[in-house]
Amino acid sequence: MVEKMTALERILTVLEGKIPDRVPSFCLGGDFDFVEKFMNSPYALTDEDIQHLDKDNVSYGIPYMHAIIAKFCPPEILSGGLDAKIDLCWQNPNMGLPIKLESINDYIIHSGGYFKIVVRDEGIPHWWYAGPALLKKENIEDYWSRANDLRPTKESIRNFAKIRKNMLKKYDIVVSQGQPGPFENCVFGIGHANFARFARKEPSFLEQHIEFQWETIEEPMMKMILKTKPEVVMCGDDYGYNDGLQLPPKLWRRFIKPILARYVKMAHDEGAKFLIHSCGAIGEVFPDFVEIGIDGVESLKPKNNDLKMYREKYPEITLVGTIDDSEMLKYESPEFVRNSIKKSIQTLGKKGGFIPGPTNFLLDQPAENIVACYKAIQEFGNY
Amino acid sequence: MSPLYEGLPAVIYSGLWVLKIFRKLEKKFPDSIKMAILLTDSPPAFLIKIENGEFDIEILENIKDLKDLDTIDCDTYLALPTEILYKGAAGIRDGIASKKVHVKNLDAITILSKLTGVG
Repeated sequence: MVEKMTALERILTVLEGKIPDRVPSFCLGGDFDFVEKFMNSPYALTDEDIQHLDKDNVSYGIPYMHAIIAKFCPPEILSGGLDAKIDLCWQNPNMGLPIKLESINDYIIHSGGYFKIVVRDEGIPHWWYAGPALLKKENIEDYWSRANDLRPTKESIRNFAKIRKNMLKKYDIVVSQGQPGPFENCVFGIGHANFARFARKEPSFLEQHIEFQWETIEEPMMKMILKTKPEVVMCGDDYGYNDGLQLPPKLWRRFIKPILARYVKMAHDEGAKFLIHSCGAIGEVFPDFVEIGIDGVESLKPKNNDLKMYREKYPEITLVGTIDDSEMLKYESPEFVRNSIKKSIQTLGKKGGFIPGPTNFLLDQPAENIVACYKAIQEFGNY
Repeated sequence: MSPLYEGLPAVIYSGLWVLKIFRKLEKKFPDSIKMAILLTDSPPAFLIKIENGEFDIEILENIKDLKDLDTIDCDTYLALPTEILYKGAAGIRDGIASKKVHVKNLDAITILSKLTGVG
């Protein structure tokens, strides 16, 4: 199929509030479980694909799995491609090596939290955040004393521009540049209970910690990312649980919103669009997203968010994701997925402002449902 | 349910798993390899075995100290404290010079950089 727009034109057109040639598609990435399922499916990368991808230095790294995302390209781009094109994906920086604080006898990551890497019984690896480490004030002050070890280095974004350029030029895929947001960085380190306690009893201490992370980690990382001239920046900052925000809106507005607004301004000042990946039911802060100029919001699990209302009430914001990956893409049939995507596009994508894809990293969904999802976006997405 | 591996053995396993699932293990490691790693502050040691595009990691429950390393049937070994491992390649090179990092031969460094450079 000959496309009328490139992926970049299509994505930027949508994020500028205009209608592109067709509905673009998005994939955040996939965990080891999904890669295992995909590579043992009929859609797996062939030796020929791998040879092609290697020639172009495409990354196989998990969870961004650019090599698998490229497999969804049409055969004109990758001869063994699945013709179920993905237009937008993600990559996050390497946030640096773990450090050991004097007051904690264990290694922590940049946010002050623990990160665990395990291999489960069936032989599949799993990497994930494992809890906050900065549980006492003394731990937090100890963490502040290690600013020099926490600052990002050039190594954090090594090859970023090259990867982005390569994916765009060779595979017509836009790679959005990620970095963790202020709420995740804060609560991953100090925990939700401490966040609530400090917000109530010592708000200036909490502000000091959030400012420390901004000045030490977030702002320098944004500057480094923006120097690589990304077209789209997407910050990951989960604010929601399934049934509401993880913190009262007034606390989000006091402590988090001002920092998030700085991310948006920095991105816009350099000509980049700004998306936020934020899981859960986040409707309460949508008006704030509009106010600070966020171009698109990603995740938006349909069971937890009134997507139709968002579409009507906040036309300024592009809805990204929205395809239920925890139930529909996992348990339903490819035909059910196809029909559901058709309905989503009719409901949410009629006037642009829609970049559908699974709401989060792909985990244990069957590969055929993911292929059905992207094929349906292509099939029903023409304007 | 307890995991099969945690910590550094899990990190190394993950890298090898990625290479294997994308059919790159044999290309990257065409010759068979047996390499032991001991984090001196977090024993026991573990043995990485790679052969014919397959890999295995064996936890060596009885190898807890530097002096035990020479009893292992392996091509090479690397023993170092976690703190130096987390300083990356430059830290390990400095550690060899300052004798905080022990290797049977320099193949250990080449293999480690291949294992941690997966992506």
